[in-house]
Amino acid sequence: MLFLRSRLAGPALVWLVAAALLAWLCLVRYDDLPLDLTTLALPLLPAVVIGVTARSPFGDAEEVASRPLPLFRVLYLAGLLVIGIALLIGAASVADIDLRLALARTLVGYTGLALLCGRVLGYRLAWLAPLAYAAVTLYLDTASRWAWPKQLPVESWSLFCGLLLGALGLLAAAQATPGDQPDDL
Amino acid sequence: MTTLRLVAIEARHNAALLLVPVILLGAWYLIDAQLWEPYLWSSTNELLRKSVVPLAGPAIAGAAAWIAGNDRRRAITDLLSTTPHPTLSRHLTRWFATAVWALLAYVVVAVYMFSRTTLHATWGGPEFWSVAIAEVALLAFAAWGYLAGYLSASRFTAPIVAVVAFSGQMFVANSMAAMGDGTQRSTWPTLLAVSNVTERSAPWQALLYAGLTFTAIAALWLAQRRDLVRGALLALAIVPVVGGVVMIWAGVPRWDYANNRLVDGWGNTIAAEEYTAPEPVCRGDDVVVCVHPQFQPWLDRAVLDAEHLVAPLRGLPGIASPVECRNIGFGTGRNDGTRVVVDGCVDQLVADESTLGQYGRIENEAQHAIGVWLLARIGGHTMCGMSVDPLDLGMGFPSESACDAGERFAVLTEAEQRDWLETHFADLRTGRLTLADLP
Repeated sequence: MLFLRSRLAGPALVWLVAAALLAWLCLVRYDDLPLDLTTLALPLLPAVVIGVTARSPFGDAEEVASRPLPLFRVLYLAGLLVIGIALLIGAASVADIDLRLALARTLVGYTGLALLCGRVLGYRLAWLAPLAYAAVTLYLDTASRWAWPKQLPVESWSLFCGLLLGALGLLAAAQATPGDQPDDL
Repeated sequence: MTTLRLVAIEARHNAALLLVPVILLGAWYLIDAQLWEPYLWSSTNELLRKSVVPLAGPAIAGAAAWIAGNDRRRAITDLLSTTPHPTLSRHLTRWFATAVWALLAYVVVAVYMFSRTTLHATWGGPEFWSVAIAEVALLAFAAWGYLAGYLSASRFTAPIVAVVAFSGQMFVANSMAAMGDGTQRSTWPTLLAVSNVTERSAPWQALLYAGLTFTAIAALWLAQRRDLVRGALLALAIVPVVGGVVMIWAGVPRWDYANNRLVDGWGNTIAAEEYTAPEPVCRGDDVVVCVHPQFQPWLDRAVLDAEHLVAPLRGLPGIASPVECRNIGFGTGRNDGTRVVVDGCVDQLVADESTLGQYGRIENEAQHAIGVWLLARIGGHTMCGMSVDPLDLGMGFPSESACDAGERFAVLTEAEQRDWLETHFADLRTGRLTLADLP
């Protein structure tokens, strides 16, 4: 419980629900939006929320805990990711076209980017990598291999990219982050 | 002087410094992905608008949100309130020290792009007004991010602010409305986005973003202590925002069906803007190619292509001397590079004007076949293999049979090709031949 409270799991869940509601609203109200923009933008918010919750307020002091913290970290983040995917898929069920797999793929990939960025720059800036990648992908040709977040239909390459980034991100987040300052919440 | 020193101190220890390489790398990649042509001012000005602010704005908003919440997260707001420096002044210093990194990154990109284009371009000039508007927009992004971070010091504020700023500007910039005929058209809110600024809407965009900046600062002041003066200032700060939005909306031309004229939002007639085309630049002796002066760097290559195109037809009936190529185009691409495209010249070479279709393009199959052969000689785009023109607009797509005939003609020796052309070229140009008449 202390672990979940220190990561602000409760507020994170609230924001994941809010992100899903926002996605539902966009799909219902603005159903004429380009599909590639929809798959690019909607998973961004839940991904950055998950990314910043990886931050530990205890810093290195957490490493003296008797419990296996890497496992806790992975389970916690994977659990949030699964919940985020489920909420986003639920919100996407109102769309005329089946976007569920595409949104799930992009969410996993963005979350991985956020966790990797957090490992390098600190989790307070974990949102920077998925945001920068989304901004760059906005102007890429959909056929480009780098434009996997907005490729439709979901094919093996884009799925591979999303899953790989997600796996690498979880692996990186499982490790301790000495860069975290204990006085920042 | 003291204020400047404080800004410098804040800037040196600011997390937004980390954004500078991200913004520069992102801008570099976006400019490359959109095939920037440094010899053209039109390309430089457009990409400078579209390629930096969509990333830099949300990033600086998120950074400002994080930095604004630092004091509250460290529980030192009471301690800082005992210092002699006014609270608003302290916040403004920190806000500006955060925003300045995004402003500097944008200036670096602008200086680089303007410098390269200044060295190579032959016409046009930089749009400094769009750079100014982008800088004001970045200040507005930072101001609203700072306000959000001040009001809520949670760790979620920064990422949410960044994502909302990104998504919001993306959706505004791509705002579309469905028309009755099933097509989609951009709506006027797209002009609120920095990437879509026009010379006509520029003053109002500047007013809008300046107003947004002042509104955020006024709201920040009001959040520190509520009183009538601060509330009045906030209300006053909203006026330029509303004014900017209204004037942008009003400036969008709309058609007055009752009086058959173009009007603005107030019902005033919009006069058609008189555009005086610049004097074209022409080169070539046997084949003359004329282009807009901004394409002058590619003119020599275009003349060579055109001469190679005309070479096998020289001396044939209907081929003037010199030939003045029409339908000159301009193309960019990773494979072909940037070039002046003379492919459109083929139509006037193989067809009389009387046989050309509604859009001035070839319609006769035999003419298409010879056109395919000529274009293939210079590495032009024959359009062979493209899908059939679905709306049948006569846009000059050759059929598969015509392409095959052109390829068969290319296999002949030069002597055989010349013999056939000397016998049949006059009939070819008047549209009397069919594919069966080709060898």
